[in-house]
Amino acid sequence: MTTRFQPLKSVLNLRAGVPSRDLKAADIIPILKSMDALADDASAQALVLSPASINAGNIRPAAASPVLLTPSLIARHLLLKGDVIVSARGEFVAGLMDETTTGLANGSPILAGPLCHVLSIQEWSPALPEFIVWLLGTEYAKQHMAAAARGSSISLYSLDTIGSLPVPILPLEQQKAIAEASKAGRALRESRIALAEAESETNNSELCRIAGINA
Amino acid sequence: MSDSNTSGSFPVSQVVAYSLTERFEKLEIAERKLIAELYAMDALWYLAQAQGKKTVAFPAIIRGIGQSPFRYLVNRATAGQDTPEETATQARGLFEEFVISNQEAIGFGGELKFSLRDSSKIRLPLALLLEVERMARPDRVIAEDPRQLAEVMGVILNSGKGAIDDQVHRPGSEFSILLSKLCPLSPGSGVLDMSCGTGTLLHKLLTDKTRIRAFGQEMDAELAVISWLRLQLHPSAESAKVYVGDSLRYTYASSYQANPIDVALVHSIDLDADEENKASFEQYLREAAEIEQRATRQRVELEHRCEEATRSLHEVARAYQRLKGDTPGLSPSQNDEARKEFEARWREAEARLRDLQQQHASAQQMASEASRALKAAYERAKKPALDRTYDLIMHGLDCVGGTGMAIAVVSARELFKSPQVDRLRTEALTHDRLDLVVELPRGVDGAEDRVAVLVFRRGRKGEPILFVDATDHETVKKAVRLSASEPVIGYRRSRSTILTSEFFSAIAQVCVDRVEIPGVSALVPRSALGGTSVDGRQVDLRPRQFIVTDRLEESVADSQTRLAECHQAVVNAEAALLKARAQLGLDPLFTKTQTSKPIRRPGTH
Repeated sequence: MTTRFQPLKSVLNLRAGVPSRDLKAADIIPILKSMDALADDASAQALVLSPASINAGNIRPAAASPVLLTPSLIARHLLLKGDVIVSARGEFVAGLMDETTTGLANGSPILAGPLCHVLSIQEWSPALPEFIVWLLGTEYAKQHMAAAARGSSISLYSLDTIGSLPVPILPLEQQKAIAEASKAGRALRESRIALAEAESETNNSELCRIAGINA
Repeated sequence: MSDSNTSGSFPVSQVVAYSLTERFEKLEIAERKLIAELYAMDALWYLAQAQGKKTVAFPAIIRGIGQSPFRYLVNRATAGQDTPEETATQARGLFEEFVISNQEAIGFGGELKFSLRDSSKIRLPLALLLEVERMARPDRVIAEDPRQLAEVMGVILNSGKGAIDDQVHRPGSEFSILLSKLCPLSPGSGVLDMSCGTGTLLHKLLTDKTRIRAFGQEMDAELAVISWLRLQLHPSAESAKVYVGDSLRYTYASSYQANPIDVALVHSIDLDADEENKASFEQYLREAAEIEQRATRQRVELEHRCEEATRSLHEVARAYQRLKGDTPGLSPSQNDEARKEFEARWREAEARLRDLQQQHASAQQMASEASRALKAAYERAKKPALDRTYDLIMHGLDCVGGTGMAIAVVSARELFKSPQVDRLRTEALTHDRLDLVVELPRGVDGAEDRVAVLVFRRGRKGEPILFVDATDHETVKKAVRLSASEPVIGYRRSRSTILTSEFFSAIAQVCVDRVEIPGVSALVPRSALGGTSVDGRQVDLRPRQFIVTDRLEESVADSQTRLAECHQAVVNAEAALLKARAQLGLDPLFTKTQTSKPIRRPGTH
């Protein structure tokens, strides 16, 4: 059976993160508020993600910056569960917005910053977000991005570059199984590293005991 | 939508810390101090308005216009009258006038004068003033919780990077938790902080303990004023006094017998200052020796030249004597000419000799002066070097009553560097006053080296000395079971993820309980300090050498448990992967790991 491929931009919706100019414009909000020139509900705090918040397919908002923004801006850029965030420059990384991410944000709205792009799954999307995250983490996707990126010292990934990645269109069950196998593979890798470290420490302790050393 | 920047359920100080720490971090140290000073003045103005207290005097312009100092500056800036630089100049002027109006209360007088350090380049942007006012305007804070005023001042001074406490090496808020718990203060007892800095420790003590008498002394005049202001904002301010000047010379040093205290706190982690003194003295000695050598060489050289000049004078004199008679072969006129020439040479040689003799005399004087200076320098070198830390500890012990204690925060080098360690060891062996030694990791109070806490107690009855090694955060964490919970707000911006309040609380618990924990603490009999170490040297005061690291037997059990847990995690992960691959019709990648064996207990087969 031959797998059918479609460009990423036809599989889901692509958009850029919050533009820098909007974040710069938001700098005035605290001053306006201090001068009572802004109503209480005219601004709210949101967490703005950077690529540093993305690690091994996960998004951890610990490195995100809290910023006061207008509610309309937050509503326009708000990230939802199932959105995929990719970096727009530097090392190409992708992460998935899941329950853990929203839980760690303590209820604050999360937005993608200017150095990120957002891939949103739509009703018509023939792909699962977990599958897309796995795909974007493969060497296949990284090579594609490296080849299509602009920039001589720092690679820049435009929405067109990312949207041009050919995505294999598989049955949803198969996508789900691949995503699960990928997740299980990562979990096995981490647990094996932890086991190897524990074995090494135990071995050293026992050797020290034989040598009569209090280690 | 609620305003996320109003205090809500969080104390005002935490909201200020969370919202403005990044702004404060970017400020110069002088700007940060000035904002804190302004805020304190403002808060005192509002307190005076609210409570009708006239304990502090305000600058004439503030009294005249009836506005708070902060509002006065903000109004001027918003009216376009002042640039940020001019606002800073105005603020400095207000503050100086404020201090001068209240100088007697702070203890200035005599040779102790107040003057702000050169801070002509500082700026006070309007936006920052507005931010501080919006977040923590004193009248709103007073209505909500007056205790927060001093807290907000502490946040302005010490939140985030570049904290003033760190810059001036004084106890920070986290470290104050440990020191506060080491102070066994009951209601009515007194405590003296000999380097109170921005007043963080005194503030902590006043907050934690009830009805204590707190005295602070600070050598740096501006810090002393800041500390005084901070305590004025504290609800228990009546029982607190801050003095300016050197703890060994001024105010409390001469009145401690009238004001007995129970705990004296010494904070002297800058061992480098003593080292620098020593180095500069050695340099002086070297230079004195060089000058003496140079002067002696010059003297000897001039002696030789004088001898030569004398010789040549004698030769001229002899030749002249010969010419006095008639020289055969010379006409009388030629003879006269020759005589005149010899007379001129004789006068010249005589003048040169006089000149050299003068030079020789002055060189001799210089040489003898240089020699005297060198002798004096050698005499000074024979005397023991000034050890301010030790002097402060001894002064602290003099200040406390019969069963009082002195807590010293010193550089950890004092624990092994001679002669400092010799004095401390003698204090422990001879007078039985050393009670506790804690070695802490680098970075406490901005120290670049490790720091040690030494507790000296009067009236000990030969109990063992507790040594605590807290240099390894991981060991302490394992031994004392630090939980992972951290402050909810502002945690991300805390100075260090290691030196947390929880870490210091855990160490304080070990010290208060006086328990031996393998790898962390040990109770050592006093006599052990008189012995020698494995390499034949006298035992120093580093805790590590006394602490039994008998983790081995325990760690066998612990590591077996961890091993079993990791093993089980691998088995589970393998099963999940095999299942996921099977769903995709893929063959197993590996042979399954056997399920975990029962844990082997030490001593069993």
